[in-house]
Amino acid sequence: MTRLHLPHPLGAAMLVLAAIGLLLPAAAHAWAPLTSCGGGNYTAWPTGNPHTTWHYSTPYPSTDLPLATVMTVLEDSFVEWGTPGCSAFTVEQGPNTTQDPMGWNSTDAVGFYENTFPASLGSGTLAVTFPSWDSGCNLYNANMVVNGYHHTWGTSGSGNDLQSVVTHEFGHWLGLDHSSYGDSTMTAYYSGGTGDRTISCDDTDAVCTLYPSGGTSCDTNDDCACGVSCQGGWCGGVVAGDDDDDDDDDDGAPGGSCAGALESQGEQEPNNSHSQGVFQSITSAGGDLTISGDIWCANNGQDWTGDVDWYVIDVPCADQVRFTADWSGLLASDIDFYVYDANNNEIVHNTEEDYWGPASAEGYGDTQLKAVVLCWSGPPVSYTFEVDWYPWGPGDFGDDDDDDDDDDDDDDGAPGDDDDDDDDDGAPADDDDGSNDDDDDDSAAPGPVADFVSDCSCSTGSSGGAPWLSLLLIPLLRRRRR
Amino acid sequence: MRLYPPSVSLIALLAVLLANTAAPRSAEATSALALSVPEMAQVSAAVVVGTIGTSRQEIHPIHARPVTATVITVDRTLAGAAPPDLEIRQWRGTLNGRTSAIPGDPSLEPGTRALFFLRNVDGQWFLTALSQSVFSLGTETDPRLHRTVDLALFVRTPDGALQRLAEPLPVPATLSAMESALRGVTLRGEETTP
Repeated sequence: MTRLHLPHPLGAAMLVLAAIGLLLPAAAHAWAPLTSCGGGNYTAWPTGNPHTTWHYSTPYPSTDLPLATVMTVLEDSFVEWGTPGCSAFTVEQGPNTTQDPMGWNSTDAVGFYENTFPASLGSGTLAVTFPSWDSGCNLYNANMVVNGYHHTWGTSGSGNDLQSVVTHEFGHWLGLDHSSYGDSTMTAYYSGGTGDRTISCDDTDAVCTLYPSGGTSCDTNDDCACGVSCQGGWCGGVVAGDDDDDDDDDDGAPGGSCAGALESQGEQEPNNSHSQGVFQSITSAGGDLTISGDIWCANNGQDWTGDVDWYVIDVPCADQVRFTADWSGLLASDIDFYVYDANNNEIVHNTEEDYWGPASAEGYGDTQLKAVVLCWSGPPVSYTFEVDWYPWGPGDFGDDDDDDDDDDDDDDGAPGDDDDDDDDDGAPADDDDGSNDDDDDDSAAPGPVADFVSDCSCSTGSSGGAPWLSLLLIPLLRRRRR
Repeated sequence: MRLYPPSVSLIALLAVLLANTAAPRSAEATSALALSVPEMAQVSAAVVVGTIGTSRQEIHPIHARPVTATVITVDRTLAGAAPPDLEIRQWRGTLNGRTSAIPGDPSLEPGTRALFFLRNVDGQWFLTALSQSVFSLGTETDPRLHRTVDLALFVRTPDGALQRLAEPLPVPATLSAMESALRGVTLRGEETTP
């Protein structure tokens, strides 16, 4: 799991609110770090992407659950801690290991003790995490052992639900101690409210303090700090109204600094092989970018051998973008995507096994994004890959002109845009700036239509493909984790 | 972030300070079954009152982890049998600049007098159920027993499913009440590794 989140204008507002809170008589959180080194320096994994990589210990498997089930549970439990938009915590599953998950020198191993369990922990212990840290409060390693010797494990409401326990244990893994907040995953006495598998607002507060991203996106109130509600996909919501410009921030300022025309290129479909020789230009839609593709899936049990779709997307400013990959309808297909920056540094990837999306991520798209979509197994599948330029609004993929997520500026929630101006009266007229063009972007320029990229450093020859692609595909081909 | 009125926060702060000075300092939390006092006694070799003494560090022979052995001077045995001095082994310590503590295993502060539920396995002593096993003793003015449980506690539903414990299990309020609760309970005694 990897999620990247971006600062958002609301993040600044939240900081202001937090600062105001500091002036009030008492501001308290219930969560606690494993230990503190003073000065607000708590035990945490050092900054990195990922912060931590965990490894399944194959000599210590569960005898109750199939391997695939265990893997899914472990990954879902880790992912839960990266759910809040304010959390930058990133974790990744690494190659399996043969290390003893109880060993002092083991490196971030997870396993089940099925044949014995240490007397020092007691038979009532369900699972235990062994974090170790240095004098600077940097977590050095962590290992986790599930007690399969005294307890039988399952995955649902009956029996011992592994995910309920493991989600809590991974809280220790990322540096948390117990919490006195009743609904916290990390509390001793859990008074309910969010379910054992999901983190609470207090847990969100904790993970976002240890691993702050500055983001404020959310799916539920529990993705926000306690007392802050999730409104329209953002903690604290967004300002009501619409300022009729070309973004969704309603701040009265013209559209975002990335409102320029898009210049992008990608593989031309159909192309269902390794060959990347055919290019196409990609036309923007309403200022944002939506790419559709079809992909064939194949692997030989070890390496990926199938189709790969790739895109070079020029970002017309040094600013942020948000991107998402979405595929549906063919749930048996296992799709991955990777996004790199102009220097071929990975921004984000999604390689969850048997994952069918949708997947979304946010990241810095300074000057250029390079996206690769590939499929490991399953039937051919269609997908969309969307890029939304900062500043964006809730649910705004493919639509940059309003904030009620339809295609106009009236914020009434009804669909419809007459594509001439901002009044949606059907008559051709102004553009709020008198430009009389046919879009809503408040500039005198015609509506955005992308040209074939002209300043891209990539080769556009008919046989060579992008040079960065061959570099990236080498690790991709060998990356598989089965 | 939750904001509390000053009076509430002050009381909470005082309570935390008092708890930290009165009880053996707790470390972190892990996941465990909640055990009642009789249940905990049934898997113990002894229930004792003693004073926490010095500790030393050793290395676990199999897992190479630092182990801390802490001396307990027993002045009263409430149930089972225990020697006047014993060592409790816990998986915690510092080795090569790295510190490790098993979440939920309490840090035993020297000089503190407390009540312990103890297992004896192959001649070595361990806390029976991590932080559930340690009760700090009250004072003359407040003779109540205190326990800081920083485990994520689970109980089993009638159909066998695990469920997080919502409220603390009732525990004897005083030492004499603890003795009464232990009366008639058969302790497991010394164990040997199979």
